Amino acid sequence: MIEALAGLLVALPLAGAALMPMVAVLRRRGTRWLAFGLHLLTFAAAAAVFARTAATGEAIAHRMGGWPGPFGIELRLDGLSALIALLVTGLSCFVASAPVDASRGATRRASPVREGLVRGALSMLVAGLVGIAATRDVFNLFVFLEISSLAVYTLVASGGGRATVAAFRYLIAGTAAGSLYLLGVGFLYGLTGTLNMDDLAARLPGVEADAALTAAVALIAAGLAIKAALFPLHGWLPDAYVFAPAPAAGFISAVMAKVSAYALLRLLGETLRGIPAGAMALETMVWLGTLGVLVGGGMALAQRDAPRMLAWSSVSAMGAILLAVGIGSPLALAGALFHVVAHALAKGCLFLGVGGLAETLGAGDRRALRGLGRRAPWTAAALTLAAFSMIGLPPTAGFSSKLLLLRASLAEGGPAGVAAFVALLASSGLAALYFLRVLEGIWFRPRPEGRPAQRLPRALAAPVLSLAVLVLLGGVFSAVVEREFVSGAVEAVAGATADER
Amino acid sequence: MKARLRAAAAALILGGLFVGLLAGVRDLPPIGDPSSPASTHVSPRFIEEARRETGALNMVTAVLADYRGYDTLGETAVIFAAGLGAFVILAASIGGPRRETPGPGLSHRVDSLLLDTAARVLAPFLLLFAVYVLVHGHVSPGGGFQGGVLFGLGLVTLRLVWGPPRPDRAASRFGPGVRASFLLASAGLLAYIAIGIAAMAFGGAFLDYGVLPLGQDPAHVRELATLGVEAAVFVAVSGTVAVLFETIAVGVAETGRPLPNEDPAPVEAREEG
Repeated sequence: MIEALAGLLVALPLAGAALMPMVAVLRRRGTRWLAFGLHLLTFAAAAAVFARTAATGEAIAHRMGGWPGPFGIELRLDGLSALIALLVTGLSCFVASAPVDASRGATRRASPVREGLVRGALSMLVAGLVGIAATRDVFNLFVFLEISSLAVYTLVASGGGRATVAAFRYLIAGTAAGSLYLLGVGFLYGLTGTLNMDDLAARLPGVEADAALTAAVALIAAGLAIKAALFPLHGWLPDAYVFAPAPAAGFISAVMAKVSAYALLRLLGETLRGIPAGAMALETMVWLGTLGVLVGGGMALAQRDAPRMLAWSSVSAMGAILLAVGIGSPLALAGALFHVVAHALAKGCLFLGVGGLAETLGAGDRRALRGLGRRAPWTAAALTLAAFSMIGLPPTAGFSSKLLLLRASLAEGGPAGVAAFVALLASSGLAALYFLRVLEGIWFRPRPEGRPAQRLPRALAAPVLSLAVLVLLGGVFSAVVEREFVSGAVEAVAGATADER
Repeated sequence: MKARLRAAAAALILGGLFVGLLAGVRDLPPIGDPSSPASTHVSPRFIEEARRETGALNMVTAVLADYRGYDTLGETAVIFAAGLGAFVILAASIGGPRRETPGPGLSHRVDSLLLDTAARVLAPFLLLFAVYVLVHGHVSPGGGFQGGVLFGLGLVTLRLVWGPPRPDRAASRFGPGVRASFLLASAGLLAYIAIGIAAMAFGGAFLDYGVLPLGQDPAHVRELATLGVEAAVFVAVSGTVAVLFETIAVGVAETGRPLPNEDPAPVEAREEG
């Protein structure tokens, strides 16, 4: 029964992606609640799967077509995959019912047909991301990477105007990334004759072709690193996040790059760990992640535009996550995964809130947020909580995850560990500077003359508030989050690598 | 200066990639080597057992639609997503005021004996050949993707000359042509997923065709179901081809890019963004 749910986890949102355009062109309405229902159903399935893996500590497998291991394609949800699937499907519920066309200036409502089509793309994105998390086949992972990429370009471009240009640049970078990854998979297949991750891990140590193996690892790592926005391959990110419509930006900024970080962890940290090039790629990732933390933070400080500042802070956060993945100790992985969850909640909240406000105001200048505290205290409070989490202040989820990351980099020691420690501390300082600057405007400055009053569309206010509550709960009950959500995922990776030794 | 630096950096990166790939490729087993891992690990089972296990005469079809049928579902979704994306970006996102009277664009029948006759001669063969490519994919090169593209092009040929199914309502933005195309594309993808879920309903895994109660031995049922999913791919792909065509048709009608015999209408560019 639970195995069937694992199989439906991808099939449901995929069916939704096909169904919603159909309903949209036939009935011209009704996709809003259909989308919400479908995303909720998928989330329920993911929650059931997650609960089972957490309770038994065992992975739930689903063999597509009934074919075993290397001959067919296997989906397998262990603690790590189930956590990612839970995060993706959960966050999709928050944006599924939002109006897709809160486009900048919002003078015109989108036609219901267009709304249905864009909702179809969102559903397609969820299917692709959950597929990446669930599959155990490296080629199947590429297919899902393509599905999620095409869907995300559509969502970004649906903002119109400059969003189209941002989406095009994203498309070029993403296609290059996909090609590199696929080339790497081709090398691996030529060397081992298999595409199954477990089979690969078993057969790779026996392969004696160092140059080809190094090429394979480098191609796969580079491809996924572009998708995960690892510095200096993050060029697509700021424009794509800034110009996407608010609901799409909220969802994309929360999960998109992180699912690629998951794929990096899965492949480099598990499947390819046994070979020297894999270890080298992880070491490089620690250093590049450290640089990304600093550069992202610095660039965020330099921005005047609030959404753009948030986008650069995402580059910084991805650096922190990836450097922890590179360190790879259980403590570091716990930190990375906790940070994935904390950052997804907080950044989703911020992008939905700030993006939604900027769109109704028609400008993203951070001064546009001045006076928000008096006008809309609840929204302002939610954004403040999320900003505290980004800085890493207690009692938010961001504090707990930053603390884990700092402890992990200290425990790692060596020049890389120390550099990571310093960079993480510095990034919190930088985040404090750039977020407090905005918060000061929100709470202590009057609304600028001649500006329209800020108000968040109601369909965005509910997600913003509930995400902020989750950020707070994640911090207050951080021990519970660590024990119930993160530890199972860490064991899934650490257990697999322990078996090898 | 900056552009030149950038070009130099790009050349350096691409050159490095090229050299790295060369070094890597040298290490791979020679192409066609019967003792290479690619020919000895997984593929022997496909070669030896495909006929018995899946009933398909064509090994490629067996791998594509059965052993790795899940990938093929994904690829169908990729094509669907591409059509959907193109339509959202190019046709459904068009900003600015609509034209008072949408131009005829590609939404009306073309009054030309020449084109009409050519379409009448061409289309039946195109459509029939498409179905042949689909069905024959079982035993020879071909299948749902190739047949679907041909069928879609047949539809586009007719649509170009005869206009959309109900031209009286074609003036609206999402006219009957758009509707029919999306219905076709969606139905194909949904049918594929439905076959997968039907297998689960009868106690198998997703896409585990063997359990479907079609009154035959499992290999034969698998062969029939393989044809079923290929047909679903066929419908989805032909629908997507039609969606891509409608994308252009809506653009022509809506953005006011004039056809040669029309008066040009002013278009206000979208300012915000």
